[in-house]
Parts: sequence; C-alpha cells; structure tokens
Amino acid sequence: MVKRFAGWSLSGPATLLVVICLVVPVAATIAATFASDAGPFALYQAFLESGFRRRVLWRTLEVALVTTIVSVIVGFFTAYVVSRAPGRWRSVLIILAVFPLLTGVVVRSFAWLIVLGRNGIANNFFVWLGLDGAPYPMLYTQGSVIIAMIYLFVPLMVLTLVGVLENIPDDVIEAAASLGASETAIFREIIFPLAVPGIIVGAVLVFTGSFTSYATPQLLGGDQQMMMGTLLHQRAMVAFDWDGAATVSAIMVVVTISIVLAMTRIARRLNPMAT
Amino acid sequence: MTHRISPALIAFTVLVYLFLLGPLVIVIGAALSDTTFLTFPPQGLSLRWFEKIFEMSAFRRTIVTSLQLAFASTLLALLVGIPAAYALNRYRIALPGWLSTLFVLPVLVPEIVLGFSLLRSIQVGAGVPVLWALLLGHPLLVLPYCVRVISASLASFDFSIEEAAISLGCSPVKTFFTIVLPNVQSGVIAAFILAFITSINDVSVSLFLTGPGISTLPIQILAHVEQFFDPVVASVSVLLMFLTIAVMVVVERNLGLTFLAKYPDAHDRTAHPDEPDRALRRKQRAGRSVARRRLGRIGVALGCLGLWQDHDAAPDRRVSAAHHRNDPVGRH
Repeated sequence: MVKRFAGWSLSGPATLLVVICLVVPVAATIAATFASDAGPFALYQAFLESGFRRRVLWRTLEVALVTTIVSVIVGFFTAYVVSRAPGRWRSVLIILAVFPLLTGVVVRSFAWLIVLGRNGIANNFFVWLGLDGAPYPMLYTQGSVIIAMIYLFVPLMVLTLVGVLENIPDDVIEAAASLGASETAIFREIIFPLAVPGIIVGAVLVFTGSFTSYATPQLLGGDQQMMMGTLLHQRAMVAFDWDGAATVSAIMVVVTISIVLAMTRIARRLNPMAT
Repeated sequence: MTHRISPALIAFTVLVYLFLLGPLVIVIGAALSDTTFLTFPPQGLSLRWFEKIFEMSAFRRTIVTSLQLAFASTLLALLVGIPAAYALNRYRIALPGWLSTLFVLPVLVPEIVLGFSLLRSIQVGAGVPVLWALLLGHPLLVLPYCVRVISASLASFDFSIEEAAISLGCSPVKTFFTIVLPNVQSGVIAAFILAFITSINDVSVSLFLTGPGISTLPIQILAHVEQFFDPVVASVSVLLMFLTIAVMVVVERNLGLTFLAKYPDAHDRTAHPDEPDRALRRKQRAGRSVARRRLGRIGVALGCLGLWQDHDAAPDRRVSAAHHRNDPVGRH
C-alpha cells in the first residue's frame, strides 16, 4: 500500500503531463472526426471521395515505402561494414553516423535545396558535362523528397543495425567460413536471419518517421508533392478546416500505431535467437 | 577477427558516408560564401552572412527563444522524468504495466498530430498562451528520452545500496541525491543531451504552437527559406549545428559528473569502486569547482527566466507562408 502510494506520487507528475497534454488532446482530435453533423463516418467518406486527398495518402505511403526499402538495404550493408571494422575505425564511423542525426531536419532538408535546385550543384555539374536538356527540374518532384528522406533516415538505420550486428558472435561467422561457406552464403544464411528483428525495428522507425514527416516534403516537395504531414498543416493553418485536419490526424495515428503493433509482433516471432 | 570484408562493400560504405556528410559540408561551404545567392563551392570566403544573422532581429530573437525553450523543457522533463523512471524501477510491482508504455507515447504518436492536437485542446480549447503551450509541448516531446534513458541506467543499479544507506540512518531524500542519482549520472547526461537536441530541432510541434510574437529557430528558418534563398539560412544552419555540438560538449565535460550531485567528493570511491582513473580525476576536478557549477546553474535558471521577456517584434510566420515567393535562383 505504502509502495503503491510512493510509486504513484513519484510518477504522478509525468503521468499527468502525458495524460493531460497527449492522451486527452489526441483522443479529442480523433473523437472530433466522428462527431460530424452528417454522420459518424462522413468526414472519412469525404476524405476518400476526394481524388486529391486519396492521391496524397497514396503518395505518402509510396514515398515512405520506397524510403524504407532503400534505407534498409543501404543501412544493412553499411552497418555490416561498421560493425566488423577494427575498433578505432568503428567508433569513428559511428560518430560520423551520429553527427547528421544531431543536425535538425530543417537544416538537412535545406542542404538538398542547394544540391538539387535549378542552379544547384547537381545541375551545374550536368551542364558542365553538357548533358542534353540540362538543367533539369529536380526540386518539387517525388524523387527529391525521396532522396532527402533517405538521407534523413539512413543514419538512424545504420545505428539501429550496428547494435544488432555487433551482437552476432564472430565465432558463428568463423565457424561457417571454416566449414566452407562462401561470403554470400554467410550473408544469406547467418547474418541476415540474425539481423531480421533489428531490420524490422529500423524499418518501423523509418516508415513511421517518413510517413509523418513535415519539414522535408514542405521544403523539397512543396504544394506539388503534398504529403500527409503537409496536408495536415495546410488544412489546419491555411484552410482552417479543422475537421479535415483532424481526419488526416486520425488516419496518421491509425496507420502508425497499427504498423508499430503489427511489426513488433512479427519481429518477436521471427527472432531466431529467442528462447 | 579473421573474417575479411570484401573491398566492394568497403567502397560502398565510403560512398554512403560521402552521401551522409557531403550535404553538411555543402551547407558549411555555402555559409562562408561572399555572394548574395546560395552557391557551392563558394566563390570567395567571408563571414558576412554570420554577421547578418545578428543584424536580423527575427533570427536573433528566435535563437535566444530556442535555446531557452530547449533548456527549460529539458530541465522540466528531467524534473518529472527522473522520479518517474525511479518509480518505474523501484516500485515496478506496485505500478501497472501500461505505465511505462504511457511514457513512450510522445514518440509513438506522430509528432505533427501531437502538435495539432495541442493547438486544438491546449492553446485554443483551454486558452493557454503561446509560451506556456510551448513549455508543455516540448517537455512532453522529450519526456520519453528522459524516462527511457534514465530507466535503462537505473535497471543496472543495485537498490540494496540505497536500502543500506537508509538502514544506516540516511534520510530517503538525502539517499536519493547522494547515492541513487550519482550512480545514474551518465544516464542523466545522456538524457539531457538527447532531450536538448530533440527540443532545439523540433519542427512539428512548434509549427502549430508558435504564434504571433514567439517563434523558434527551425520555424523561422522554414519561413525564411520560403521567401528568400540567400546564404543567411546556411549560416544560421551552421550556427544551429555548432550550438548543438557546443551544448553537448559543455554538458559532457563541465557539468558532466557534478551537475545534479550535492556532495561530489563524498561518494567518489564508494559509488564507483572500479571507475577508470580518467573519469575519477575529472570528477575530483569537477568537485573542486562546485561553487562555479552552482553559479552556472543559477545562470541556466536565469536564462530560462529570460524566456518571459517580451517577444513582441518577432515575425508572424503565418503571414509569410507561401504568399510572395521571390525566386532568385529559379527553384521552379
């Protein structure tokens, strides 16, 4: 009894903060989407009937999926090299991967404006090469958003996977090598299966992160490449359509949380090291 | 380590690292440019765009606001987060299992939804002023880092040490400050750095909560980029980068091991019997300058108080949005 009182009073302030500032407001936002005059699902119906918003949802899923797949592939091989690098190199490489994470999303997205603009570095290079049709319009395309997102999330993926890959004992790999397994076989049969739970954790982070991003699509996609985050902001702050914004919010929450729940369940089942 | 990595993989990793670090180098290069438009490589080097930041009151104000907000939010989150982390570990059986999940919710719920919901319920619904809404939103946003990181270090803490101190007549409060807290100090520092970085770089929550008069640096940068495309943004970005690194280094090196401990010398050997020499020496050196530290803490407190100063002339971001884009470099 005493313990329960002590526990609750110590965790009370933090609990209150989360309940008052997160649980209640977010629940209110979601509840508001069902309180429309035209019936409980009218707002969702309106969302799905609008071709523009359907396209935004579809585009967001597409961008998030491509970003996740590329980040997983790039992150996996990079993390493998980092985790097997000799000690001093390994810490240098990890610090270099952490460094971009310390820099804000705005700064890192802004960097791509300098690279991809009409007079940007990439286009200057293409003109210098004398390519046909250069300079190309690269900003405000889906490609520019995806490149910046991959740039944003690869460090996260690398750091998540380095932790997992470091835990694979060297003995296992050496045993396989001494028994004649080729490098590809070692990758396919040993390292990859052991890394799957980590890959899933990283993929969930990247997918939910890119699905809900705002700054990158805003800076590099503009209005032409509107995504769920920018649509939410546009509905709420430019159009003052709070019901619409609440609907976008509810869809984002449902997609994010169901992916997190589903993937953690799958990760638990797939873990070959689990006892 | 006899297993060799194939050269193709190493080359691939080098390319990935170039991809990761190149854009940051480009931003730094663009910030040092002496032209009036953004370009890389810079045609001539100058620091004029850094001077320009401080000539523009909007940037000056938002830099100060962002720093103060990040400090205040981190301290607030630690203030409620440390007891919560302690309770989660110490009274695990007495508390329901969902409580630890509750503290992770701020990272689980999409940040932008959180920002919009805070605007709806707290700012508009409950009429909380801009500054207070930010001071609720940011601590909420960084709370998960505080609770999780400190919980992780408490998980390896042997609570029998605490019980021993209490049974020997030390009061529970004093025990917490002299025995428990020094043992999880590395966790507290890590939490501080993570929380500070999260808060100072936050876009999605501030986006909705900043209002007339009060803005944060990332929001100001976004607003500026939408209208102009000059190297000021690059130099502000570089400044933000170095501010973050400076805070990390300062917290790690100086405040580091004595930041929250009351009697830094008393538990040196007892609390960490096998701590490496270097850390021990650093701790003792830090112990000698407790007075200076306390001064520093007062400074932090004063800086946070400065948050209540007038922010009247800061620009209203919403007016600027998307209206008149001039486009000197042809981004379209």
